[in-house]
Amino acid sequence: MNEIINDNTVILKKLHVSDAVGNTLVSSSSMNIEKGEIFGLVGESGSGKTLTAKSLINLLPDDLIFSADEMIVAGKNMLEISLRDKKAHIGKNAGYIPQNTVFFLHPMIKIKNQIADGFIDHTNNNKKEALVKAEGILSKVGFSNPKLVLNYYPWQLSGGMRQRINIAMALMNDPKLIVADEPTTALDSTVQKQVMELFRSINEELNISILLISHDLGLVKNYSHSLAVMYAGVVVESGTTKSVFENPKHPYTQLLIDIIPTMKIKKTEPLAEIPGYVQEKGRDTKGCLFRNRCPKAMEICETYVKEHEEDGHYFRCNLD
Amino acid sequence: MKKNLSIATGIILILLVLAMWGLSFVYMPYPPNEMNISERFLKPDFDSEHILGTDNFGRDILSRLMYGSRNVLLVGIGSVTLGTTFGIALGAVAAMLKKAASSVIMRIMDGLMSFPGILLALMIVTVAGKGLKGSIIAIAIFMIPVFARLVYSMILDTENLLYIKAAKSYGTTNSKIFFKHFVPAMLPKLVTQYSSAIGSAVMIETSLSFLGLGIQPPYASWGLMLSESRQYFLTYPYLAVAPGIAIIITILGFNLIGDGLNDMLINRRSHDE
Amino acid sequence: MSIEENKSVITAKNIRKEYVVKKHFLTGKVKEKVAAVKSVNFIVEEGKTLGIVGESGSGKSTTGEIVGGLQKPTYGSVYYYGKNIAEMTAEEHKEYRRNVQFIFQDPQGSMDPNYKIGEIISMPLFTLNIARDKKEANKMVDEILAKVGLDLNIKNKYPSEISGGQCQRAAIARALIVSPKVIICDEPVSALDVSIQAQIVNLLKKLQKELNIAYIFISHDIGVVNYMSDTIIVMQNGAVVEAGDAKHVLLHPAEEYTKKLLDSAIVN
Repeated sequence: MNEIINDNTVILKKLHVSDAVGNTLVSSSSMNIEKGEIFGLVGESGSGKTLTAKSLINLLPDDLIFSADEMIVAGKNMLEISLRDKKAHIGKNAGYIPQNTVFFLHPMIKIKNQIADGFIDHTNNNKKEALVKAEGILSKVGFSNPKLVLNYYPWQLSGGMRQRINIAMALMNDPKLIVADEPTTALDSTVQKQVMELFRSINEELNISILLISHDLGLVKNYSHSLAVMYAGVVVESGTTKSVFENPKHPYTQLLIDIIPTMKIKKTEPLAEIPGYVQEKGRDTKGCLFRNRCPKAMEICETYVKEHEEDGHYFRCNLD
Repeated sequence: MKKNLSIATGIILILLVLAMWGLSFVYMPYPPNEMNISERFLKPDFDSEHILGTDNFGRDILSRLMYGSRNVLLVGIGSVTLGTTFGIALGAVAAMLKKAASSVIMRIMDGLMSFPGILLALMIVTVAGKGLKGSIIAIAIFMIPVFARLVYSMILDTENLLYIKAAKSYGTTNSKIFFKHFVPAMLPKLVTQYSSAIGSAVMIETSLSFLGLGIQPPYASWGLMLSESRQYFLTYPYLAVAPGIAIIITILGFNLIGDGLNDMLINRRSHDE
Repeated sequence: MSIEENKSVITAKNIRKEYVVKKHFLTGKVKEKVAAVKSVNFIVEEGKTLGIVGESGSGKSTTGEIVGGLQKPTYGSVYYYGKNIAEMTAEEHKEYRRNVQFIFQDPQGSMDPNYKIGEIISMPLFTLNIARDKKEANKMVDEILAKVGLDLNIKNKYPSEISGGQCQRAAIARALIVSPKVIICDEPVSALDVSIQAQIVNLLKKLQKELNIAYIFISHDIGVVNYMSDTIIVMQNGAVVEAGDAKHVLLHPAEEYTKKLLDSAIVN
């Protein structure tokens, strides 16, 4: 083990998540998020990306069990810490942006009476000071009249505005890490761009690491510095966005890149598709879980998968 | 686990009652109304001819218990079934008619529901008459709003669901939508409510009989037996025990089944989500 | 009705849909209304696809529902082969119902969870009196499942037991089984995984070629609309902002809003 102190925001080695009955949901997944980096976690439904992210910030449902070789978030080892300390540490240092903008805010409470809750809990400030800070942050996330917004109820705001409130709430504690779970999926396309640009500016100005979960490879391509691709609970490829897109090594990644729709598609040809669908059960095998849909599958893929890592570009495939 | 225990216990209790009911048609130790003054106030004795003893008129308590079960079940199940049918119809009509008509119907339902059950039953019995018929009508009317409201809100909930829209899109008529889509969705809740309602109905019936407004003497009814036992409570307390226990078992049984079904429903819902 | 309009499967003329927002407490007189759809006109030709693009609140879904007969327009009319649907006889209306079908954004939500897939797909056959008995219906279900690429054993599963992609295929099967002329697709792939979206879009295109079905394809995703559509209308706040041949509008947008939509789409 190297002794060099690493100020990566997240160090995760071989995460394993299973449910109460013993079914494997996530297996052997690793990733590193550098300080001030936007890290894209890409996968489809059932890929395990949300579970992986939630395990990092203590949001995993109670009936799931996880284990890992190493899990360091914002400088503290998450595996050797009491639950109480964990809650305090995550509360202070991490923020979470949900996919569904509606249910994250209490519908019957004005914005000003909920935006500062986490802040007041985890720091020694009182509400007055909190609201001053809130105004500043609301302005930063693009509201031209923060005082007015604070007096609104959530239902008076549009989806895009609510998402910006969620981001502002997450920023109140000056977190080191923000986990954004499909933050733009439920929004209109024009608003999507606004929100993503906001993430980009937060990241550049405040040097906050962002874990961006998405099923949209195109989105991740445009906004993340590094990424990991997950399939059926396993990280199949990861590395800097540049290297993964220039040289995708795993067949699943290659297919995902192929099917990003662009305006240049010929209308007379069928779109590139990945036949079949993700398997829910039977994720314990030592073989490759993608083999049933992989155009390049070989016999050895039933029982064994080779791991490669060169210059930070990692992938699991028997092909070279 | 817990819910299965509930339902299982409830079912066992009700089976006991049903056994007694069924048996009453085949064999009763004595005619339930036969008086025998020389043998009055016999204590319960398993070895004697009157297993549960005799009452103040010398009538065999066990036989009266068995005969009484007929009335209890008839009124209990009959009134609820009647109330359910009308309630469902009213609720469905209100939900599908909308606006003015539905407001009128539902406000009447609200009005009915604001009366405590016994009070309402008392009022209706004075109009409908005492005895079997009156009891059934009174309790049925009490049950109607419960089911009307349930059906009304369930239909309104389900109406806006996408699959109803889809059904309409290929031309499904309103009545077909009701029977094919609304009913299966409502059935679990309705069955649960039905079960619990029978428990309530039995309670109201025994209360009515206790007050002398239900089954009239000399016929046997558990509530009436309880009422008649009041006079002799200090000297012959056992007169109250048999009907009392029978009442408890019946109400408890139906309520347990209703509760258990309710728990099962809630769990099934959360698994779907 | 011009000759062209008579030949088109669907013609929408001046469709407007208003909702009452405020009524006078006592008199019931309408004080405030809002128009979800302001004035929409288009024609859909046999075997071709009309794309309707817009963001949420643009009125595109409402337009689709009005054209498909799920809602009545406040003003304006919808014509099926030149016949006004509001003036149809019962027979004609049945014919129209049969020939205009829907698929929705939430595949599982569009199916009654109390029934199995096989039963769900066969329901329109009985409602529209197309199949005479269960045996005939079953045969038709088997044929249609093959067409949409589903395994026959899916007939015995419940919607909650299958994936979104499979469910949408089943929904397409249900729409197809009555041999419609038009299928109105309301955001059919938005709720599906990216890798499945392509499967469904390819399937829809294949079926169109094989069976000469027209589509009204409603979506906020410009890339997919571009791929599917022959003609397109762009909607914003209930009004049609731009309309025309799909290739032309999307490669050379004339309006600001269309340009803005295209610009944000390149994010993907």
